[in-house]
Amino acid sequence: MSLFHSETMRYISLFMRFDDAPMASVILAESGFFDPSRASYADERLPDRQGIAYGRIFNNTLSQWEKISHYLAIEPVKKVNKLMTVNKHRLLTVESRLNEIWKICSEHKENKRFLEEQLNSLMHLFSLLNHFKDLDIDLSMLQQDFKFLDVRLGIIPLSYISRLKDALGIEGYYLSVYVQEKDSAHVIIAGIKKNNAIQALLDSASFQSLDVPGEFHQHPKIVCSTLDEKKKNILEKISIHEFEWSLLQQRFKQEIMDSGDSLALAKPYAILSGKMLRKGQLIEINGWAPLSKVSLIGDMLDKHIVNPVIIEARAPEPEEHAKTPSYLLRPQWLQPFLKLVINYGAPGYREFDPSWFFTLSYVLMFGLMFGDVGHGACIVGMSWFINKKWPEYASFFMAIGLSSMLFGFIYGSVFSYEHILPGLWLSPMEHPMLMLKLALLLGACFIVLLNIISIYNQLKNSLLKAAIFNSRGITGLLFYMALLWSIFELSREQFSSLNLLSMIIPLIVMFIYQWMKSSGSSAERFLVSLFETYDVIIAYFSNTISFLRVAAFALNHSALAIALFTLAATANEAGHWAVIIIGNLFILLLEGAIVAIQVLRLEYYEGFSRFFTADGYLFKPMQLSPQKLKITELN
Amino acid sequence: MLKIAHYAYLQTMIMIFSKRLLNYAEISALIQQPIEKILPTLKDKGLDNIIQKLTQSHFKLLPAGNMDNLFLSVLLEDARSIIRSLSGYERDIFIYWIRRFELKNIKTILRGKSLQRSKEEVLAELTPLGSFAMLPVDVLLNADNISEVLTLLEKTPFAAIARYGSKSIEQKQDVFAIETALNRQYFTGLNEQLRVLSDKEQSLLQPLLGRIIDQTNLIWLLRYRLSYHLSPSHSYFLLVSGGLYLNSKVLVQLSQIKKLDQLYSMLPGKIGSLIKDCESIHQVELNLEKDIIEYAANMLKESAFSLTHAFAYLVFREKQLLQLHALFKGKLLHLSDDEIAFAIGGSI
Repeated sequence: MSLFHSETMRYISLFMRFDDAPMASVILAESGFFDPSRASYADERLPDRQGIAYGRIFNNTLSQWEKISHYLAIEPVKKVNKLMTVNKHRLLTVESRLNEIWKICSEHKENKRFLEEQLNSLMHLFSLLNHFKDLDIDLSMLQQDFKFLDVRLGIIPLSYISRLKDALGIEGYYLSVYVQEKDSAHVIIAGIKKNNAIQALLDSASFQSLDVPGEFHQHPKIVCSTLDEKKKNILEKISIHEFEWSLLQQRFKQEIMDSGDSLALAKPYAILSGKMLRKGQLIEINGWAPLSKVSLIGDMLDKHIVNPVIIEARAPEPEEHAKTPSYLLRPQWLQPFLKLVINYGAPGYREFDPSWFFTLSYVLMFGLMFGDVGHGACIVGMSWFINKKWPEYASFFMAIGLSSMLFGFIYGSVFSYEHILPGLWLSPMEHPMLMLKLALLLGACFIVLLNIISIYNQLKNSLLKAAIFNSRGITGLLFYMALLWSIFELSREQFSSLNLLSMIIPLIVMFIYQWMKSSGSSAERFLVSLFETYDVIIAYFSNTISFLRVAAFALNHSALAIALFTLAATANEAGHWAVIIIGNLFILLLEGAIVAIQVLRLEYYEGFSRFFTADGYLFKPMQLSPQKLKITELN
Repeated sequence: MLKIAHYAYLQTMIMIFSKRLLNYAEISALIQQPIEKILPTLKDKGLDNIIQKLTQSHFKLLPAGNMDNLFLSVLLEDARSIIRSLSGYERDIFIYWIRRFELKNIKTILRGKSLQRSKEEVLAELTPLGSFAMLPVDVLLNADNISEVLTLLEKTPFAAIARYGSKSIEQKQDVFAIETALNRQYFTGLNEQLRVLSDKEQSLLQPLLGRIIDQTNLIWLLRYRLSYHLSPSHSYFLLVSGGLYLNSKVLVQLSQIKKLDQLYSMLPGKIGSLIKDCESIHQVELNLEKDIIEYAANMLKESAFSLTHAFAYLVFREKQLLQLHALFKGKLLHLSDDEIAFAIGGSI
């Protein structure tokens, strides 16, 4: 296991009989160590493309399967039952069966929607009736068919009211809103009866006619009881519908699970069939695998495939490094930190993997900014609960909790009390200037270290010129060291012309390098180089200053404690403890979260952006799991 | 001072980009040149890819979709550069502006569903938007019908727009009504986006955006009334608010129009003089377009830089690319210089 790099990868080419390709695809997926993405094929060796028909059928089948499993809430199992191939005919059979099932489910779904709409419109009627309930008249009087008057009741989206009012005005109609809801309005439209001239307009305005229903042709009290009866009926139908849904679920569960298995088994071939090359009976499959697993893949293929399979494994060529996947084999406890690194971007194959560096610096800075034995112990305790629900994140909380405790002992802080525990070294509030200096020193060390990593990365990627001349290379590092030296001399009031020269020379080198690199007219190149060089000065300066927040948050933690105790002192005894407990909870949750985000910000923006190109691809081997059926890359 | 520093990079970029823009005289001068001579003169105008493709094809007409996409990709590249230098709500506004092209894709998908065309046919007609693409195209193409497309859109950044393909329209499966609803909702959304700008920036942007909305409204109105023969009230309703010269009152009057020549007497002030003597809707469109370009060009000359400069550049660039597209196409189809000049709204 390599600590700072991807595992060594091999580019694998498999040659076999065409008939064996489906089984080989299944075996490669079962091995869990074969990634066919970004593999390239040299057409001259085997000139014919295998075609993508199988992949298309797979995608269509998957689309139906997803709709059904989602509708019937059927959770697929993690692993397939038995290793076997799924040929095109079988896949088509599955697709056609799923089409039949979806037809039934879709009809059922439509019925549900229909019932829900009925219920919704009924609820609408109830709310509408609210506006008439105090009227002691027969509501049918409001809906008479007048000889010369066109009167309509309906609902329109709220945003259309003004425009529709103007538009109706053109036709001599009048619009009045009588109920306004969140997004819609109930309106009465009236005008002189013509030959339905406004119907197209009303359709465009999404006018939902409330042709006052039969229930409204009576006294409001009678209408209300009739609506109640209808509501009862619809609710009964909905409960029957829910029962039918559970029957459908039971009826199709096994079939959907089996189809999920078939799709999981078909997926590897669906991925590979669109990529592999063929000539006659010979077929070629390419992909990436870790060097340590090449023999395992070979053994598995030999075990399941009777005919010979030729495996060619070679190291990636330098020009292939950009598309070689990175396989980062890291201990389980490092996974949450690795996830945060990958959240920024995956390290390139030849690039320095910053997960160890990230973990150590993150934990260190968190402790520095949030040092408190009590709060740290709470976070450690929290990791115990987290371990039960999200075990993959427990180590993160454990590590930052322990770091917080360690710095709590150093600062002598426990649950915001600064005088119970004697500090092993210093209390931030008592030595604020020292804290600020330490933070700047930490930042400077952090940036120097990252620049060295950046130089290493550039050299690994054969970017010799960049490694020497650019702002993240040796010249950039020299400039930064000169800047630090100058600041130090300035603080001693011994700044000399040598200091100035030591900063200017690297800047000129970077300017020339930028000039050579840029293209366009001379004015454009000058402007770009000038801005880029200026940006280097600002970036180095601001990056270092950014680390002041490490000290600022340590001070903030103590300052919050003082505020908390001042507040508690104003309360009576019971109130005092309530304030202390709630205040500590507030500090733990809110300040803890802010510190966690600030440290991440420091890592990403002051750290990763300096050296980490993060343009790599993670090794994503094919897998045989009905839970992971979506193909993200299908050429 | 802070604002100036904030836009320093953007201002420099727009200053450099603006050199790519041609005025009417320059475009008109190109009309008389053969295509082989036009291309070298456009070398520093950010059209390298198009020039290369046309040279490679030995000045043969590329398939329609390819040509459109090549020009669009130029605009998107510029937009990408501008957006990259922005953040927060300013970035959102520009992304929303570019989202118009995705709206076109939504309409293509809806039309495809309505006509029951195959997935592949519809896919071939979609405009590729690269990193600007937000639509789950595959999922939408797999939808069974228009209702499902609209439901799926509610899970995308187009939710607010899609919601207005509302129930009654959905039930009637009327694609025309859905499309006009989408257009209206898009412009309503745009006005909402712009509300976060400062009053000063809004007042700077309004004349340009208002001109664009005026052009859109007037052209749609003429088509609704004179080509589709919709009723005045219906035509009026389908328009959007926010125009510069054409407020609701004017639009209500205009919606009564029965013939094109009635238009001039009904239009207020400057916009009336702009379309004087126009004999077709296309000519009206070109004249208004010319006015938009001129206004955007003037905005770019304003000394105090603001976000509106970047917007004016994008508008100018888009219109200009359309003109160049028409010019190239006309040349490749061997149309006469007069016909090309008419198509791009210029003169020889």
